[in-house]
Amino acid sequence: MDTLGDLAGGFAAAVQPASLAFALLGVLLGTVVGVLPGIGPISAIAILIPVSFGMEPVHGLILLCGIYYGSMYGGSITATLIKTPGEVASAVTAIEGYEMARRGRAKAALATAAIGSFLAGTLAIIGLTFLSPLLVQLANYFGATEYFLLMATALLLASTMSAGSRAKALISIFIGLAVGLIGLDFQTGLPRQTFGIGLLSDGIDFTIFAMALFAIPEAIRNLALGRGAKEEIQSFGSDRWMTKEDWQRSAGPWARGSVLGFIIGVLPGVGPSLASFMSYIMEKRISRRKHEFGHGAIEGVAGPEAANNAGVGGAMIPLFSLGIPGSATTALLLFVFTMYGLQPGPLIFRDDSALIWTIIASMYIGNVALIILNLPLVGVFVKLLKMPKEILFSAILVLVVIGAYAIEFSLFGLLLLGIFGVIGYLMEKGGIPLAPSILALVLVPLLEDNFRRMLQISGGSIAPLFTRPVSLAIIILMLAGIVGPFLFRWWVRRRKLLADVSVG
Amino acid sequence: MTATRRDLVTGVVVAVIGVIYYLATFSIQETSDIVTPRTFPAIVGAGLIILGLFLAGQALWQGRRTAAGTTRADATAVDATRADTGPGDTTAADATPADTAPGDKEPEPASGVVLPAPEDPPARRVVLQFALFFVYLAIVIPVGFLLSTAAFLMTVTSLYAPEKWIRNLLYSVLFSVIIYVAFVYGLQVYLPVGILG
Amino acid sequence: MRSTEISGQTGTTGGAATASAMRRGRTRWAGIGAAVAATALVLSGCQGKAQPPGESGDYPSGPVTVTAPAEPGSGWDTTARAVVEALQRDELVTSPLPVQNRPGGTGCSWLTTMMQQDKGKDDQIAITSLASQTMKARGLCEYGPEDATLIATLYVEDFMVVGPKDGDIQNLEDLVAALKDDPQKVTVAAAGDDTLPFALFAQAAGVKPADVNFVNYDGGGEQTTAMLNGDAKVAIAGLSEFRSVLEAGDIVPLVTFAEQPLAAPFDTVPTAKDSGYDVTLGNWRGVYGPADMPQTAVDYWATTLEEMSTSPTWEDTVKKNQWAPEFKTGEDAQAYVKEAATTVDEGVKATGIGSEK
Repeated sequence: MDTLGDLAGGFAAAVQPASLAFALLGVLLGTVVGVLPGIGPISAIAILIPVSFGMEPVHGLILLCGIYYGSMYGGSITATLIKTPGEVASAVTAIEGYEMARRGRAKAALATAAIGSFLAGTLAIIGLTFLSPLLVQLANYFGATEYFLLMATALLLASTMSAGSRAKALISIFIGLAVGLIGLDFQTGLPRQTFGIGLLSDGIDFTIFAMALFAIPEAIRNLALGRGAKEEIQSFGSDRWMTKEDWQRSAGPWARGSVLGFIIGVLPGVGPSLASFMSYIMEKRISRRKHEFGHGAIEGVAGPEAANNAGVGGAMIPLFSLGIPGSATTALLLFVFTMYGLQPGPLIFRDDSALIWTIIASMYIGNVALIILNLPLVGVFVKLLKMPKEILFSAILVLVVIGAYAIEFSLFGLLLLGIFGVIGYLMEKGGIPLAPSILALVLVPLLEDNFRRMLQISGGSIAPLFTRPVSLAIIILMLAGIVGPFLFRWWVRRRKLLADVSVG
Repeated sequence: MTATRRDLVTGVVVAVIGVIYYLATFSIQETSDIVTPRTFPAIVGAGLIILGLFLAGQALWQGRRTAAGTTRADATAVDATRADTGPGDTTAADATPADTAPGDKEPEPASGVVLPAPEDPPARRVVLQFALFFVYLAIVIPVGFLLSTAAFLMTVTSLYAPEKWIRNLLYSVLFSVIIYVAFVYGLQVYLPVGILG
Repeated sequence: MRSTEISGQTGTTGGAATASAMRRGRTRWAGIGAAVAATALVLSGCQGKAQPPGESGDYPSGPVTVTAPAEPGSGWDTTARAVVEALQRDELVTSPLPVQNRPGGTGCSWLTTMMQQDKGKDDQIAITSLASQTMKARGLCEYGPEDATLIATLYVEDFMVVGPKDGDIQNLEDLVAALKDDPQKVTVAAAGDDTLPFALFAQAAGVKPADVNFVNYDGGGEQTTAMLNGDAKVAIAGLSEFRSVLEAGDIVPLVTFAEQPLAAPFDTVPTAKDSGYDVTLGNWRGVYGPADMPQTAVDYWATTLEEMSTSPTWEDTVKKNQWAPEFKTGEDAQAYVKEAATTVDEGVKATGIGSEK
């Protein structure tokens, strides 16, 4: 068991009182930073890069990993409490988490998120420890064709995410696609759909879009309601910790989310965000309580949060072994690792053994610190909701503005925020769900790039869709997923009919 | 607005946006690739048009059916529909007949209680709030973060609870200052200084 | 304008190669990248106001901002950080040198700022490269780096064509034969403008550049995956993108477009020039200042960067990243960049990627 020995070595380097202190500090900083909209892990890591280089490499790595985990969790706190997702992955949490908070179940939502994150995060690191070489092979079966299919499937499934009309969910997806295509075309560098506005050529930033769509309409609506309106968020006297039922209902989603998240996380480029969306869709599909989704189903928080954190672990595999960062944050982490002398690539486990095991060990520690710190804090965060409405929601508006400013540094960025806020409000008013368009915005570059690559490679033929084994398997699964339920329903109805007839 | 009227309007608006979006694709430079930079935007534009028209058409058809039903029954039925769906249609839309969630058929009490949908604020107050927000967005850079934020918060809170003006003032000033200090000195995110700079 | 910047004192090894990390102006993460710019930052609040330009004597009298017009972790970003690291570690400059990220339009946004708003200032320098020239040649940016004040070229990253270990194409002859046989079948994984040298090479080998089947990828990591899963037959990129995979033996080098044969362990890789295809083009990186930068400042930076080019920290960084030093200032730099511009123009015309691709 070489792996175990190496891991033990990593832990020996990582487990000291000072290390643990840095882990806690990192997680705390990360949580604070994650709570602030628009200011994500990447900012915190960038701030601390100079500091961390003054420290022992082990301590620096532990601190940064702690920040990463902390901020991932911090993002779900704001998503749950004030419907302000700071990153793609927590956009899903904003759906059920916020609904739970409105029903006075914020504590349970935050707790299931924290525990799910911890479990999934730990499982994923174990997976990273032992399955890396195996999973890196997976990338070899995923070419442009498979990627395209995967993205298309995800978008199709996204139309089932929200309750209500399919047509409206599709409209939401198309709005996301439309916004996502604005900017320079990746393949040719030509400007598209910029309406002649040069500033649009860099595209619409995801964070601005998500903040605008979720947070602004909610805040504006509450402020416009004024007093005398029915209390939005229910009394907190009854806010209970996770009940036994909650535990039972969370366990399955945690486990499924972890596995799903880890596997999807391995695919470079999409990783955690797709994982959390897919987990939500899956939980909704298999749940016996479908009707609760959209009204605060705890599964809709537990699954995606677990998937998200497992996805982070999964994303480390291509990061380490191919040097492909799955997100801006991992790109920055990669930069830090290389500054410590790590050379990402297939030989990393051979050449940089000591360092990489230290990093992995510090991830375990960061994860543990996350749960130690955050479970007690859940109660504190929930108190935020007790603030008078006008204070809470006006503060949210200010924080989103800072977030948008910190991304674009321009009036144009701020105006975009406002305009998408109006669009979000109108979408809600028209009954168009918001979450599918956010997923679409994230996925459209991957969808388009890979579709174009596929045709470029095959010389214009779509044959690869059916001739490549993995791709064919996805298609068959997709068809089964779409046609299956219809057949099943038809069969059930028929049987019922027959039964009725025979009774009659 | 009834659910069907709402869908009609939504559908038409979406279709119009689709048309604009589609027209904008004509200014994308064409290339000789199999899938050009224009292909996807054009598909998306067309998709928006089709979906918008579909939604509008569905609404029209349903509206006609409802209308036929109401004339036979009673004219007040229209008002009844309005009362049912009026305030309750902001989110996740379970208002249109086609939208009926499967859960409605098999109610099962659990923690996922279906809350009465949030109230819809009067349109002019929404417009007012958005207007205030846009003014804030416009002045935050030239005037500076501290002044504009304090002014924005004071206005918003005072509109809401004018009699608590002391608290509002304290909150507006303290929150702006604390946030400014936290971001500038803690996170080194430099917020606009504006006229104070 | 007000901006925020990443404070410069980062890092021990400077920008140890993360070049693969989204190095071009690809903006998928650009927004978030800018958020980083929002971070770790040093206020230079009213740049330009702080110190009147052209004040000679003890230049620089205040902080000089070093801008990487791309996301953190990108090629330009690592270069900027490596430069600042070397300047400060070896105490060549004592003034603060905050590094700022300003992604946008493959550097075009920042270049435009340097041409217009920051014109005549002396407290700004920025990193640029071949990619900016391509942007101009393709008509996607009004300016090229040669239009602002080019101060120095630092190093060149040589382009290399590689193929998978078990692929049909194992050497240069295979590649040319395959291209001549049916260019459609030879899928070439390339990131953006890296298509240029390959297109010129194809032309030299008698294949119509327009027929080359380029497939676009984001960087070395993606390209490697594409070769390993069979999507791409060969790939072209800067050497550093492939180094670790090459060393692991999963992919094999085919040809390079360097002037001189590369250093070991890649000294056996044939150069296109020696093999009879007259294509030499390297992705140079350089430093430029605002348009009409005061001469004192230009001279100061030319001298200081020259000192840096032989400093231990810089030499260590160059070695670690296997960059080919190409330090030139003044007219030498101008001439070098001009020559590259000619090649780029030629390539753009030949391949037609200006209007169509």
